[in-house]
Parts: sequence; structure tokens; C-alpha cells
Amino acid sequence: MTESLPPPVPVQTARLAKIGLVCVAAATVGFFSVLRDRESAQGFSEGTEATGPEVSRALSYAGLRDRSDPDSIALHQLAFDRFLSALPASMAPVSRSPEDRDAALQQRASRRAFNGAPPVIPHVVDQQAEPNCLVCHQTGMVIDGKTAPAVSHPPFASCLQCHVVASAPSGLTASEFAGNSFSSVGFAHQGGRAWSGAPPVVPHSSWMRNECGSCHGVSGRLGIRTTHPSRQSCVQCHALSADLDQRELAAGAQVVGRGAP
Amino acid sequence: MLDRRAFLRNSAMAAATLAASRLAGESARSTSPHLRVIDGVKWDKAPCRFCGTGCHVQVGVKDGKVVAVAGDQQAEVNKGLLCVKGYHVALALYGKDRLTTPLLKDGDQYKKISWERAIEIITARVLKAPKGFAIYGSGQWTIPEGYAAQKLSKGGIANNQIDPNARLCMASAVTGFLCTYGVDEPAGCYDDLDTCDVCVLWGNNPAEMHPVLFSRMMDRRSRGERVTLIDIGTRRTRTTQFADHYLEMTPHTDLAIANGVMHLLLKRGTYDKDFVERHCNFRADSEPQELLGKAIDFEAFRRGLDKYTPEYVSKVSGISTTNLELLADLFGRRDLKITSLWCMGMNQHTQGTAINSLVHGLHLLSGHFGTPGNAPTSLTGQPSACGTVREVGTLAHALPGGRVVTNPEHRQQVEELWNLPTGRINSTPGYHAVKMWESFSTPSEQGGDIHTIWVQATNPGQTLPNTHKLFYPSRKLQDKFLIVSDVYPTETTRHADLILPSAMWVEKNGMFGNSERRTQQWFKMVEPPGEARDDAWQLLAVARKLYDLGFEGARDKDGRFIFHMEVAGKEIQYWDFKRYYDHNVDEYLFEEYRKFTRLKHKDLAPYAEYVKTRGLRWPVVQQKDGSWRETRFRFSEFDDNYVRKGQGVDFYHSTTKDGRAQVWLRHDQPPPEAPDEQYPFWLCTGRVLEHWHSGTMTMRIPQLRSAMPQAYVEMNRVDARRLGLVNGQKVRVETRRGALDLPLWLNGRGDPPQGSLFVPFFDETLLINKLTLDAHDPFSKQPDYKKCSARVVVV
Repeated sequence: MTESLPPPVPVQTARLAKIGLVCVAAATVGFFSVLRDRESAQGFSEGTEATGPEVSRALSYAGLRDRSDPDSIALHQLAFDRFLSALPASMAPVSRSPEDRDAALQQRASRRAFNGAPPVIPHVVDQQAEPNCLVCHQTGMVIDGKTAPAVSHPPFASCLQCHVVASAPSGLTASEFAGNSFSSVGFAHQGGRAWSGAPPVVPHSSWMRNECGSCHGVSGRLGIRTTHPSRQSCVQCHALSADLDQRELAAGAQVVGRGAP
Repeated sequence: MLDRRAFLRNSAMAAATLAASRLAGESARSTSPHLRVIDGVKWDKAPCRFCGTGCHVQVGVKDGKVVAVAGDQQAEVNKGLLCVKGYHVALALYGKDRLTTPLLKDGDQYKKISWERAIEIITARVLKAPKGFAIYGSGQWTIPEGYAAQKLSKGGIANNQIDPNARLCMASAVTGFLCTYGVDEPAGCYDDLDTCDVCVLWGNNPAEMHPVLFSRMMDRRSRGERVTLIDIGTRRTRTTQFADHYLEMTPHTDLAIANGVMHLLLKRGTYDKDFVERHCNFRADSEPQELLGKAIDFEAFRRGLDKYTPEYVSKVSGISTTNLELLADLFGRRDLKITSLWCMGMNQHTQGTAINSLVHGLHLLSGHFGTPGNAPTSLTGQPSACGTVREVGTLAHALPGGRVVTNPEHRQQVEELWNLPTGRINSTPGYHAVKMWESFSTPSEQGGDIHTIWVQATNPGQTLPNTHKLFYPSRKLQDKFLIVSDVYPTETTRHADLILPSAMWVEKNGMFGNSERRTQQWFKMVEPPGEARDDAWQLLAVARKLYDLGFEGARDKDGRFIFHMEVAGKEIQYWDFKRYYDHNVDEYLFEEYRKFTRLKHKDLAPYAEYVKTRGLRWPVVQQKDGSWRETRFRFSEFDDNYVRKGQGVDFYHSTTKDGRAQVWLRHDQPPPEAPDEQYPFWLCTGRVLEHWHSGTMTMRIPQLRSAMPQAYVEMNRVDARRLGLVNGQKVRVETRRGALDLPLWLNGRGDPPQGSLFVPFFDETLLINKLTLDAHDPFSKQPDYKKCSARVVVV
């Protein structure tokens, strides 16, 4: 390493590097929330040696995008810590109404062509960036009152392969077109129960939805949030559907003609 | 919940009647062994309608409409995952402006006509002068559709005037395979993506164009596996963001790069001497130039590469000597498995055949061939470019199963299988796509002898290059007649004389063949809208009408209809559309076509085997126990039934008839047009993730249209600053052929280097192909859409 290179990134390299891969929208929010913090009394006290992920100099907007700058990384770290701490505690009581449920399902439906279609992205994304979506969407967080849900499926590498933005990037505008008459079947509603006290079965496919907490956990929309988020093993009580999960196929249709090896 | 009785009933019926319903369309349809009924929704399998990846989807149907789609977990290609186009494929059926009735141009208007009248008009155009009636087809034709068109053209009208849009997209891949291995299509398959250590992308952006294949490979990283991705390209793309190494090359210099790497392998002695000695010959261009060239020896090959020193190649291509050495280091290692992928970057190239053969040569020379993970693999853009165009041979020079019209033996074989009189098949190849449209746009008295083109399943008004020259002039010529079968209004239908409404995707039975030699089948699940009808039916109805009118070409040598089909000894009258689905016409056509596939060892299994599976990769060979076994690694002894024992690797269709592949010496030549003082930019065109080809289907899907609503021009920030342009500003892109106003998108989807522009071609309101060049490869006749020179003017 030559002297002209910047100092090495300290300790929490892996986490910080990931934090550095921040999407523009979150970065902007993060920047301002930390700025507010620094102006307040608790944010920064003079004469104290900065410890931990403290910020020691102001960054330009361009600097914010520098993924190797330790100050930039630290700034984002602070912001994300705040967002994470804004999540409700897993033991907090949950109270919800049928109206909440309808509202949650309606909002869910508004972002999908049909039940099972990948939801569109309701915010701006960097069209070129390598997928850094997981910075917010890995654990899920609440940013400025808006929820960034945790991904419901295993983290695949290429998020933008399935999820596209809901509205066009600025500068591009849609012309009129004749429209589309596709209509989907209804969205899943409450799962059936064997009797009034039995745990409801899962009313939707669980294919690529191994992370129930994404929709039903503490950061999920109130109407479909679990009343018992502290319990982590959902499918212990809520039965999955073999039909919906295409498992009948696995038993019925064999893959034939498979070559060696 | 599942209607269990219905499910059991279906399963039992499937087992009991599958064999009996071999030729029964309706009953075969309702007894798909995959059919599931859940909550009143019937689910069945179908391959996706869009690209050449060949994902399978589960299609959910309720009350006669497709209501949902899911990734098919049983599909080996996509293992349950799709891309955003695949998830929304069902919406492509339901754009509100579907074509629903035949329309005939009447002055400035179109008037509705009956199907009977439409068929009469087409047959009249054939009978007017059979020689000048051409069919312009598609890699989106199903296999049976392409086969029907092929037989009508080559065996019926007998003028060989049939060529597909695939000429514009993968013809150079075909000639590359032919001149290297003597037979078309990749030896490897997608399984290579699961095991390769290194993937080299040659001008390829699979993150947007073949997303499921890309993530199949990249998701290995999430599992802790290491995949080194090398992106050789002319523009930063979404794929680049995943790459370990981005090698930015000057456009058109890929030949120098491939030669440079081979030069280093020879100089360092790190090429695979054993593999080369056992399996390779050397080849160079002949005088005059012919596809198979002339033999040279190893020393001539070595000397020919002398000039491709790292310094020379670096100077030509802009790639650093370090990066050239990196490539040579990797290809020089036997312990690494290397897969190369390419698509339009190498194929849409005036030296497309040459660069294809060089990448094959690099893999052969370095022995990165024939074992899982080691493969040079070309990808296709259309769902059945391989199955329909390359295998059925819907090209001006080809006959089914890898045969050519210029070969008397091949003609004789085909005449025998079709029961045609000797000499029926014309030995002169028809016109390739560019020439066909050029002839159509040339007045008859000036030698433009194509008077009618029947277009099916494609949109040449938007996708031909240089449309000012190739497409629009014909529309002003009185005696030229354009027939278009399509599902929506397009730039082509807007200029058509006769428009025919077609059924699409799961509105009909179908079969596709994807990029990895996989043949796929699906059943009709919903009715087409209005009077829309199957493309295959349209072709067969015209053939039948010709027969009724006494046209000799519609008869075989015994005087029977060339598309005669019978069940239990009785002729079926499927040309009456009401009865088209009484029997499975697809299966009949496929079983006839299947007989052609053995010659080149591209053996296909019986139709019923494809009903059972999510596709099978040919050659599909019957085993001693009667079962059918697919082949994943062609030419490799451990997997390919046709390799001679003890050979290891055997190129059993070698052009030198000695089981060896040809490693080519090809020199780089200047592009037909390059930036100059007047037109200082390179202009590249291509696709984006959201839209497929000319956007006919995807621009009618709200989610895709919202995400990417219009075409734009990408430019480097430095150039924009120099020209005083800002993001979003409207600019005029001009070439020597045309001009187009587009919004400037800086730091957009991709990032071109200084001195180059990129414009996608999906937008029918902003037709970039009015600007592109029709110069093409000498062997494949495939035009170069990837480079011409342009300038940018402020408007």
C-alpha cells in the first residue's frame, strides 16, 4: 500500500462496507437526519474525543456517495442505527381492526399486478447501481414514518430483475396507450381455521416467502401484522398449502429423460 | 382449496388417455398431466412468451381468462424464478387494442373483411406470380408454425422465398457454429452456469436481457461460491456492476482482443496442447471468401497471430495489456472452468461470423470445452430462434433438420419425406431478410421481383435496420402488397395492405426451442379474442385454398394435399377453423417434422414426451428400456450418445470429416462506418430489461410501461458538459440515414464512455432504426445494429 492511498477502513469493515452501499433516497434522508442530530445538544459535544462511528468532518453530497470514505460510512452507520431503533419492539402489544386489514391488503394490491407478482418499487432507485437494496430491505426498517419491509424471500443477487420502479425515472414520460384489461383473482384473505380457536392456515403460496416477518412482523402493515411477533417459528402452528406451493407437482410429475451425470 | 376429486380425475384421465389422445387436440388439452385446480383456478405449464432463456411459467386460468402466473418450480431452466417480464407475461394477452378481425386497406381506411375473403386475397397474390411471394417469419413462430411455413414455401410455392427476423439476431451465431463444428447450436447448456469458475461476457448484458440466467449464476455468490465475472463491453451496464473486471473496448475491436489472448496462449505455451492435437484443425479465409475457408497448419496459425501482441491489441482495442494478460492467465489455466456468453454484441456485427468463430477457437485452443462449466455458449433473443428458425430451417437457403437447398441429396431426402415429385424443391436459395425487403422496396420494373411479403409474428417496420431504405419505399409502390399477421397494431400493420388477427401464446397449442437445445410444449388454455386465429391455421388454410384452386404446388406426387392429415384412415378437415382443435394439428406437424431431425443428430422425442416434461435437450435418444434421454453436454463422451467410444470429445459433424473442430485465424477489418468529424459519435442500439424487442407486447403491460415509458439517448457526462447539454434535455440524434429527437438520460440505465451513444429500440413512437446501418456480415447476412456514426444536435 502506498502513502497516497486513504487510510484503511477500520474494524467493522464488512458491515460498514455494506452500509456504504446505500441507495440515494435513503442516503439523502439519512444525511439530513444526522445533520439535525449534530445541531442538537446530544449530537456532538465539543472537546470530546470522537469514539466509535462518530463524524468528524462535514461531507459534500459527492462525498456521501464515496463508498470507501470512512466518514461517509460512519455517517450512514449512524443514520441506519436510528432507523433500526425506530422499529417497534417485538414484545409490544398489537391491536388491529378489520378496517386495518382491508387497508393493508388494499395497499398491498396496489403495488402488484396479481397475487404472486413481484411488487413494484414505490421510490426512486439508482438505475445503474449494483443492487444495494438489502441495506434497507435485509432487516427492514422505518424511515421517516415509511416502512422498508424486509425481503420475504432469500436474498437473490439481482433485485431489479423482478422489481421495477412504479413510476418512470425523471425525464422520461409515458404517452397514452389503449390500456390493459387483465384482471387477477382476488388477493388472499384470512386463512381458514378448523374451529374458532385454531390457528389459521396460510392462505397464500409460501414459495419464495420464507420470511413471514416481512409482511407479518413488527415492521409489517398493521392490518396484517401478527399479534404475537415474539414467536419466531410461524409454520409450527400455521400450516402451509401443498396445493398453492406446487408440491402436488413434485409428487405427481417426474422429471424424465434426465441425462448423466 | 384444491378440488381433490377434480385433481384425481384429471390425473387418472391423463394416465389413461394420454396415449389414446395422441392426435386429439381437445381431449389432450384437458388432460395435461400437469393440470391442477385450486380455488377454481386451473394451473398448467407453458414456456414464457418472451426471450430465448426458455423459463417455464405456471399459468392460472379462471373463467376463460389468464388471471395469474407463477414461476414453475419443476422447470430446470428457472427453478421457480422469473424476471419482471415473465411475471407479467399474462398481461400481454389483454392489451385493449388487440386485433380481432381481418382488415383490408381501402384508400386511407381499413375495412373489416371475412377470413374467407382474406384467404382468397392471399392465394390470389400467390397465384399472380408464385416466384415473387415471400414469407417473412420469426423466431417467435412456434415449431409447428415454422414447419408449416417452411413446407408451404419450399415444398409448395417452391421459391425458397422465406426468411425470418432471426436473420437480424442470431444468423452469425449459426455461421460461427457451422464453420467451427460443422453443425449448428451450442455444445454446452445452462448447467455450465452452475459450475463455471469464470464467466466471460462478450458484449453481453444478461442482467437485463437474460435475467434469469444471470441470476442463476450470480445467486451462487449468495451461497458463498466464487464466480469471477469478466465483462468485455463498450458501455457500462447493470451487468457491469456485478463484474469483477470490466474491460472497456473500442467498438468493433473484439476480434483483436480474441486474437491477442490466443497469441499470448501460444507465446507462453499455456494453450492445451493435448486437446489441440487430438481434436482441432486450423482454418483461414479462402479466396474467394467461403464459409468453410481453407485448411492451414498450426505454424501458419501461429504466424498469423504474430501481430496481435499485447501492445498492438491494447492500442487497437483500448484494453490495457494487464487486462489482456489477465484473460490469457485465466484461459491458460486448466484448473479453472470457463464459460463464455454472448448474444447481439457479437452477432450484430459486420464480422459476426469471424468473431463467433474466434471465441469458439479460444475455448478450443485452451481446452475449455466439453466438460461441465467449460463452454462457449451463444444466447438467443427469441423464444424459438433455435427451435423454429435454426432447427426447422425457416431460412432462405435451408431445409428442415440442418439441410440446405443447394445440396441435391438433401433436396432428395426432403422430397421423399414430403412425398413430392422429384425436382419440386428449388435449388436456388431465396433472399435473406435484408435482400428480401430491399427487393420489396425496389420497383418491379427495376428488378424488385418480390411483389408480396406475408409477415407473421414480427414487426419489421420497427426492427429492420435503415427502414428509410428497406421498409418505407415499398409502401409507395402500387404493385407491392404487404400482409401482416399480428396480435396488436404495430409500425408494420400501420403500413400493411392486409392485417390478420393472430392468436398468441396460450391462446393456441405451441412448441418452442430455447437457447440450450431444449424443446418445450404447451397446450391452448384460453380462447383468442374476437376472430383472431392461429398463425399455423392461417398458413394451412392458404395452402388448402391453393389446393382447391388446383395449384400444382399444393399437391404431393400422388395428387394429395401436401398437408394431408388423417386420423384412423380418415382425412381430417382442420382447415375449417371450427374444427381446427378437433385434433391436435401441432402434434401432427411435429411428428412429421421429427423425422427430419436425425440427420444432424438433433433427435427429437415423440410429442408425448414433451407433454410430460418442462422440455428436453436434444439429441433426445431412446434407451433400451424405451425411455427417452436428453443430452446436456454435446460432443462429450460421458453424456453424448453419438460420440465414438474412447474419443473423449468427438466433433461428429466435423467439416473436415475427421472428428475435429476448426480453430480459425481471422483478421480484424475496419467497420463500415466509424466516427469522423461530421458524425463524431458511435451509436449503439439495444434492449432494456422491461421491454422485449419492439415493445408490441411489453409496452401494453402497465407495470413495464410505467417503469420504462419511452426511448432515450444515453451519453457520457463529459460529452454532455462539453456540448452544454443537461439531463432530460431533448436532443436530435442524426446519422447519414435519418434523425430522431430523444430526451437525454445521463447516468441512466447504462453509462456509455466518451464518444458513444446508446438508444433502445423498443419505442414505436421513437424509431431508432430509421438511423441504423444495413451493412451486414458477408456470410450470415446479419446487419450491424451496434455501431454506426452519429452526431448530436441541440433542438
